[in-house]
Amino acid sequence: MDRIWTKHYDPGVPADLQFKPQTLVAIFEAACREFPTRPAVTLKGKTLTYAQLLDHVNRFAAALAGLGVTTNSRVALWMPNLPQFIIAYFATLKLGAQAVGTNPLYVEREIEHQFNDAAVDVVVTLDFLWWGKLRGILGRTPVKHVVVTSIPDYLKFPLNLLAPLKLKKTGQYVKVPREPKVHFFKELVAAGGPAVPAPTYGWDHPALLLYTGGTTGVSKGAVLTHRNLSCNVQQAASWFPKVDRGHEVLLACLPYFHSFGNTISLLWPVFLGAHIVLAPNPRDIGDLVASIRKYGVTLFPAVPALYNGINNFPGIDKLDISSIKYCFSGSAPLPVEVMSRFQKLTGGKITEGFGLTETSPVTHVNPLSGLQKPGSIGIPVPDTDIKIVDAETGTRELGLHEEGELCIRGPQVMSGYWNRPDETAQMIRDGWLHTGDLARLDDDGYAVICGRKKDLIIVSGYNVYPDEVDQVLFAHPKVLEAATIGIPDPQKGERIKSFVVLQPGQQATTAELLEYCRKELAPYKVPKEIAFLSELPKSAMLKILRRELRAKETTGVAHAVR
Amino acid sequence: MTRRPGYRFDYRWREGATLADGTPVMIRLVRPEDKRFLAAGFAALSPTSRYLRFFTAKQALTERELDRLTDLDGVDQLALGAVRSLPDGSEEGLGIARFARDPSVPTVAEAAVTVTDAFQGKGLGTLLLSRLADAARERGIDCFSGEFLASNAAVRQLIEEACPDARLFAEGDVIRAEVPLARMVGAVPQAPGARLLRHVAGGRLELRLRHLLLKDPEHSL
Repeated sequence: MDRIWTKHYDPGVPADLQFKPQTLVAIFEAACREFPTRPAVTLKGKTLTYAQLLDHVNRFAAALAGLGVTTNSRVALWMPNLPQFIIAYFATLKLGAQAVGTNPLYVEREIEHQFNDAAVDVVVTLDFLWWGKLRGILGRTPVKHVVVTSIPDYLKFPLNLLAPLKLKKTGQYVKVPREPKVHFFKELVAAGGPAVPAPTYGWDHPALLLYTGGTTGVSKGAVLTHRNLSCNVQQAASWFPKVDRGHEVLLACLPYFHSFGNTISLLWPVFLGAHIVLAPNPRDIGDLVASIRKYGVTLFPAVPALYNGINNFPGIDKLDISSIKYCFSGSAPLPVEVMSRFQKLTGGKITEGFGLTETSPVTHVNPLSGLQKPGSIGIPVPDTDIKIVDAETGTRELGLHEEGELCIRGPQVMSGYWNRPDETAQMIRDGWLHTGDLARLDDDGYAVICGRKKDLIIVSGYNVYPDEVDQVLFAHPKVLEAATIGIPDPQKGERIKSFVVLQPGQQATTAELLEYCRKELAPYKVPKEIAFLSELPKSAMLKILRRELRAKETTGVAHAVR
Repeated sequence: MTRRPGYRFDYRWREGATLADGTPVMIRLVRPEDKRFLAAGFAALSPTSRYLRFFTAKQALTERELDRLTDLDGVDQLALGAVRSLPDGSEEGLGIARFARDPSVPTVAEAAVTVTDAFQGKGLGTLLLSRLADAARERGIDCFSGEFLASNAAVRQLIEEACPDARLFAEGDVIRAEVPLARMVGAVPQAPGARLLRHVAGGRLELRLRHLLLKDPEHSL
């Protein structure tokens, strides 16, 4: 369809972008050249300038090359937002290898699957994750080298010496013994190595694998190329024409292993030569407020729960957080009252966006100063085409106001799923990515998400496939059957509810099953509620009647950057 | 189990066929003694196939379910199974198609087709669905209904190819299909008397007879 929405772009936002064919490494190195003395990244008061960051990246890249990393290697980055993540990320890309984003909350079962599926060669992770989760299963993965870092490695003196005492108590610091295959981040950076030659790969070379669930709970890697991510950061940046290159300060509380955080809280500020202030624990609202005030944060991409948390932070009315200019909200619908109170507190603007892991992720945003429509995901970013097709066959294009599946075409659409041509072909047809989200367009081309045809639950922006939860429940010796659904949740978009039938003669408590789930599933996949039934509602063909399971719950579906 | 004479698809019916990869198969009605085929066939399904068939990560069929899936009256519930002979003389179940008549709308039946992973994509699902439709029409059923997950592209393709006039209704992550059996590819015209049977099945005969006898002597069946 025609791009009828471009008339609602804010002044200064182009209808078409002349994309610079820069790899992510070229974007990073350009910022380092342009702003060498400007702060690049800060963690708890310790700052690296862009020149220092480049030096660490080059040294770590040389070390990775020494470990055998090439353009056909996967390097898993398994840690929260730390300077080490950024260093390892750009070092991996510099060698033309593929970074694999790995959630620190993953349990052994999930790690084993991901590292095998992606054929991960090197893992860069934290001491306690290596010691507590990876060491025991290393032999069941193809991983050749593990690079271990510690949170204090990039803390300033004397915090770097004091932090281990505190972190030990919370299980976030372990002194790791030397053993084969294990290397230490600090030592690798210190040692460096011969300079790495300029990369020889092109714009369409794969840069990043981000894992997202599959129909049957088998998580699969969305392959995002340098072109995908480079274009998406240029598209996202074009939405904010008034940002000041080299002078912005971004508070990075969105996780870097997730598509939203990767593009909006890492690549975007690097593209701008902005100062990244890391917030590895975004649940600490007091720390977020303190960081905003201390560093004069201007850009604050986040999720509704964080905006709401700041709105309700004790004494926030008396604190000056007016440095904030622009906010980008995703992962769950942003309630209008949360948005207006936050805008009033800061004087800044929040815009709400939408996207998928498979689209790098940004596809839709509401204009900053133009027409914002509450409840809508907004309009496509420049050079993005959309269409709505019938949900039944996906072949018939529908008109305005008709509900169907949202399809996306643009330079940010992934090249495919890693080693899964069949699933790729099902998702991308004739260049159009079929999102699995049901939407309708209004006369201005604004989209409203009205349902989902994928069997998927989105919890705070994280994809959860009900089958994965069911598989875990079924494996419990007391469980005969299980069926899991998503139910609308005002805070998280959706929450997980499982219906369980116990084996005859067995008894179990919710707490018992949840404790078991926590060993097998990352916390966001663990059901919030478990209901015990004597049997699951089934059709004559023994198919689970999900609508009967959902019948008791209210209707409504969340939309999200996921 | 009652045996109703007069149906082409009865418990003596057999049909040999060759799959696209050359595998010879034999299709026949499923009987109570076929439980072991079902249990083995279920075990041979991949987690993906199980999920797409049962809408959950089902791990096994219970005894009760095996009874329910094999103890069929041959009229309101019927299943066709495809087996192949193994070199040791035993048989292996490769696929099943079944229907169960809707008690409230007796001309409609819920249907389902399952093919073990190793034999998917070889035409067996199409063949089973086609014969199941023939058997259903004999029994006064003129429409199959069924649900499949929206992510199940293989079943959507199977339905679209078997019956281009099938109607699909998306309901969130589930798609409901209505397949008019007379419009299936290769459907043969109905034998005389089938309409009568359909009316019997539809519970409309008594009403019509009353019309015929009491009110409307012009009205014919």
